[in-house]
Amino acid sequence: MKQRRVFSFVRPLLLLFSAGASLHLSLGADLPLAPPNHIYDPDFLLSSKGSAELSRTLVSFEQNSDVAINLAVYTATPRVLGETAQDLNEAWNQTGYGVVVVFAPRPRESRVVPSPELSLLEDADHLSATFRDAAAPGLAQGDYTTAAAAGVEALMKRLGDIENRLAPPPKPAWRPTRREMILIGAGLALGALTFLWIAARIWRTANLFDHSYRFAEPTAPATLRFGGRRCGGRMATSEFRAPLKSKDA
Amino acid sequence: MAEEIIAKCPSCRRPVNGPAPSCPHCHVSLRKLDLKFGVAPKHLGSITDHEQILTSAERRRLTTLLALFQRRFPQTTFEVVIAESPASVSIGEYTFWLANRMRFSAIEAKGERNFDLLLVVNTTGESGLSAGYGLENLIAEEDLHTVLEAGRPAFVGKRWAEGIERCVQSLLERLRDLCRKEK
Repeated sequence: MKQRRVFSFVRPLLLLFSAGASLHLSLGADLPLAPPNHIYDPDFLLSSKGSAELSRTLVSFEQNSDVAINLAVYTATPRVLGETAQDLNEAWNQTGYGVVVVFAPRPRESRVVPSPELSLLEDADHLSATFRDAAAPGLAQGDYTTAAAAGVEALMKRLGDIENRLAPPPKPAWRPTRREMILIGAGLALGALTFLWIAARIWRTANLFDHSYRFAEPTAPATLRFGGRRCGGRMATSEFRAPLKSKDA
Repeated sequence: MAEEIIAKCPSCRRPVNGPAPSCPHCHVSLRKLDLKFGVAPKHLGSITDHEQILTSAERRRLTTLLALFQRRFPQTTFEVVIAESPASVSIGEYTFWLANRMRFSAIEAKGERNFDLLLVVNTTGESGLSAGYGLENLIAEEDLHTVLEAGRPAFVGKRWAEGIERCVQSLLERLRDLCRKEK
């Protein structure tokens, strides 16, 4: 009976402790800064030569494709690995295109998390699978450096053409709807009518080709002649009879 | 004192200076011509063609042209009379008589306010072109001669519509030039 009481007291304490530990692990202690050489390997699990070569490759890849691949290699449980990958991604890939690869060779686990912008184009599970499948042969041989290099190379292949995918898709050709066509037609007709109306007004106002002339009003009264009140004999006459042909000609 | 316009008698073609109820040389007057010609032919619009010498199409074309003339010179009425008079009739007398007796001018268009023009085409071989008192200061007898000469080749070939058209065109250009010069 007494023993049961002790257990009933200890059990909530254990649960509370477990929850606290999980929270601590999930939030993590101070996160490391983004490594300038793209590789975070606090436990020196990769060979120094292989690490340096891989670092050069990653730097070069970033310069060429604008995609940063940051590799974190350390030993951790799968659960902690997943949480840490998210935290590192938030810390290292706040802007731009990039991925965080968290690689734990000892439990043979890996996670690849894309940056928020890249996540629109790439799925974390697919990236993780790509890395895992490429790294598997190296891991089977126990060569972590080869495994990491193979995984990273597979990722680079997958993300190398990301620029092409980033290009905006071609806009579909605009095809007006029936209503839009009617509106456009009405607008054009209205514009044409307005133009014609203005042109007609200008034409009539300018009177370019139908200019009228006015004679000066005579100041003195006319000198009437021959009894004519409208015409005084100012005239010209012309004869246009065909010349008569002589019968003898 | 206003410059006196020298005119020629429509009958004897001698110059007459100053007011003259009749020609001092041949004594012709409008009254005498009334007795000679009788009643003036009925006015049938801008083209009077009782003998129907022109086709309908020709008449339409000329009417359009005369309407244009009217628009260009709103003070003027340009009338065309096509007649088939005997050769004995003087075209000068006939044109003068028609210009005064045929009722195509406005009532107020008399004396110096008359700017009307009359082209008479006698299909027997003569044509006459008269100008009202109002145009005497502007258009000279030589100008009227030039106008008639423009239509002469067509009249010789009995292409009446073409001859009239050329006369109207020539007069349009001449009057336009004179108006521009005056300005």
